[in-house]
Amino acid sequence: MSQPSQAQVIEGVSPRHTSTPRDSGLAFAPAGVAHLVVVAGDAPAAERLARAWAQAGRPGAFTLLLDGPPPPLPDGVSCESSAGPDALESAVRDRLSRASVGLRLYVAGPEGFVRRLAVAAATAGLADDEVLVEVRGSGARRVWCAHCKVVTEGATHDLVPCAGCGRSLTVYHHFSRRLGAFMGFQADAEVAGELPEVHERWP
Amino acid sequence: MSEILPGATLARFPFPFDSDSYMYSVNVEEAQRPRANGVGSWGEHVYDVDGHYLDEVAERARILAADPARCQVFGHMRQAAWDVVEHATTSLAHDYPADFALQRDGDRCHWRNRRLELEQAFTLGDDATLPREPFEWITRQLQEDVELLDQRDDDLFFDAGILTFAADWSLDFDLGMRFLEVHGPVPRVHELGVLPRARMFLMGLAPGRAYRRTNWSMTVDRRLDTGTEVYPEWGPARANLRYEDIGERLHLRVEVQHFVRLPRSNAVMFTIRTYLASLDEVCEVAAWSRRLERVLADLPSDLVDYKGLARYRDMTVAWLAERNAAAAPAERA
Amino acid sequence: MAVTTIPVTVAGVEPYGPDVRALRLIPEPGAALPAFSPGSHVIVHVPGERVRRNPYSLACAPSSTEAYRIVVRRIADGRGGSRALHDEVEVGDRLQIEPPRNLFAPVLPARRHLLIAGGIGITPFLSYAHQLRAAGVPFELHYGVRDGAAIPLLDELQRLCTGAGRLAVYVDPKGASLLAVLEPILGRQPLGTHVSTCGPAPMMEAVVAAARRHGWPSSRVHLERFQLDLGPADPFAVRLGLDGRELQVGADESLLEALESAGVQVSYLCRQGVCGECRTGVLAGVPDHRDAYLTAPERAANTAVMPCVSRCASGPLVLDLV
Repeated sequence: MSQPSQAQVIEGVSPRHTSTPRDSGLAFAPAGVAHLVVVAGDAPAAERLARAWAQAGRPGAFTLLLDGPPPPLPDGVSCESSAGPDALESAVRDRLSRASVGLRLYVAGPEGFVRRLAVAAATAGLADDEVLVEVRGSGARRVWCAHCKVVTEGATHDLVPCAGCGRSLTVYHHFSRRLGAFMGFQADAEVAGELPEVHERWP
Repeated sequence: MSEILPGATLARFPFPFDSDSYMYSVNVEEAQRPRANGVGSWGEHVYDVDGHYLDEVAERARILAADPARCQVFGHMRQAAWDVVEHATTSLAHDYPADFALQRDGDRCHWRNRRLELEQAFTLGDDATLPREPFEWITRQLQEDVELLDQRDDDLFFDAGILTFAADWSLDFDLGMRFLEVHGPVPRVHELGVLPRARMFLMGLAPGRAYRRTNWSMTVDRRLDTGTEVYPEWGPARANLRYEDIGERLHLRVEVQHFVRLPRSNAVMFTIRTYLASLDEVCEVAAWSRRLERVLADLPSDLVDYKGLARYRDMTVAWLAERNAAAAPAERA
Repeated sequence: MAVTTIPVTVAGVEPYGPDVRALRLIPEPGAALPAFSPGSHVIVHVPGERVRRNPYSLACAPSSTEAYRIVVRRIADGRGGSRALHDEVEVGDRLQIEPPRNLFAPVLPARRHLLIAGGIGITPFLSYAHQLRAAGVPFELHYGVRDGAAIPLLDELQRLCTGAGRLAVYVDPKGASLLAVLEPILGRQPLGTHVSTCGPAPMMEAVVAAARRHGWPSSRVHLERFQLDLGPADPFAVRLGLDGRELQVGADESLLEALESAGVQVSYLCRQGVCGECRTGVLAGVPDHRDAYLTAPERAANTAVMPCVSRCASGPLVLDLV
């Protein structure tokens, strides 16, 4: 890997085949017997899910956690608002620690938020087919620095300064499910100061 | 005039090219049988202990001291870790009886590593009987990098490993990935169907027979640790390689990978043993230097990029062409 | 594929009622049996007019290298393998078994295991219980039997299912009480639990249906379906070229091996049907494709075959070889 050719970042590799996550999308899963929905910054998505649940005959409890005022919701939905994404994540971890198999977790929000929640879900014991994910809002990526191991949040461009060590990192098309972040490595490791053109890719 | 006789190390060098052009394939074959390379042979054993053993073991220890995350074992891989201890100690004692010895009384073992002047009594499966975590304990005595895959959910998960001699990847990053995810960035292997078949092959492995394949790239300077973590250390060499230094500084880097189904854990172990030969050394064998010139000249640009050769591929082809042209008249004599 | 086999001797027989017997198998003097992973089975070559190849779970500790135990239920109307192991095989008899393989391994990262066994389906779970107990992973083993008088493996299971493990045995000639307890159990498992089941097909189907009703995703539900390995079946004839000599491929050898025995050189690498190296042209006849290399259109065209694993559906198979 390392220094990709200047022309483009993903020459010869189809995005279909990379480790970049292929999200399931926020479709209601009627096979689940309990539904925990976590939404950051997109209340209408939560509303659509809740309506789908109601239309499916309300199969199991439906709990919604979001970081803002609740949208209109059908009867029977239990809803809780949190102050921001960190508080949301914390509330999810808490509920997952008390949940039983049969639960489906739905996560919608910006790219970084969704990946953090996916890590929390895996830590709590959820399998890939129990978590439904959709990126809504900013696609800015979380980037793990291979050199200092710090994760930098919010990378919108294919070059980002590392929040840990300050190096300019190439944001590479390789994603770690364990870390919930993309690989970053020093962009000018071969010739100091020789940086590729920067493009905004994930606004 | 005759060719310079190749040195002893070249006799055992796993020259990886069977033809004049290279493309990814499921080039898996049965292991533990000698493979002729034109000047000698290699591949008799799963674990290869050679004259570099002490240096490489010391280098591994240095790397682990600086970055312990180069060796990690998920909790559910404890049984697999002990499988590796059993497999490696048994193989080494069998294949190199002058250097290693293993006495067993059921699960109670007594291990002697004469090269490291190390003796250890331990009980298989009992962590308390070893001075450190078992997988790390044994892999610190090997020249191979070792990776363990857990088979579940109709897939293979990379759940334990040691990687101190990486060809530009990172264990800390890839740990936990599914097999196809680990290979995400590799060009062509998905579309060619090579990876799905490789995965099917590994998932069908039974305990007993080992298999192997080779992989290759190039490294500037004789440096084994080219992990992504330390790219700032080895990266500059790619850019400051000069034509006149190619023979001495540019190395053909070959990995011999072995695949083994471990019996007690059902994990798939794959080992990676890395060999470096400078281009001067490669050119001691006329057939090798001619073949390498053609492989490099023909290599498609996405593979050139992925293997990190972009800065010096053309220069190296020219260098090899010059060497090969100079050698040719000698052969006709 | 000429498979290596391990010679064993029947060192003991323990009956559990009229239809079930456990066989203790020991290796040759001085030899040890391979250690294995929980859920493994061995294929037993049952002697007789025609050798039957029957899979049996290894119902013993995974670290057993001195002896294996298999438990055989006598099936009156089967192909005869289990009948022979009951009616004809005695202590002192020698058998050939294939080395252990595992098609039913427990999910290692599972936080908890729910194991549901019906009758003879208990056999793979004994090795699970050994492993889970040693690793301290919580589990519940629910074991349904029809006859309470002779319950296979009960003593050993009771010893193993202590601490983090629990055993519940349900004696019911109709097999209903085991299924009745499933509903509440499946509704209360913590995240990260996996359910594994082995037993008669209707019982396993009931477990799967109940799990689905409780929202279990398929990645958490595991069944042991004893599938006979797709091993050599019938012998067949092969011709080398349209006018060439004819060879017989035996039931216990691959086409590649038969060609090699006849002195025909075929390039090969993996010998497992994945790498493509041994691809051989077919001039006539229909191959039985068992490889993972040829594409669907290539298979349909029947103009090529991978001799390392594939066989013949309609012969003689005429190969583009001399």
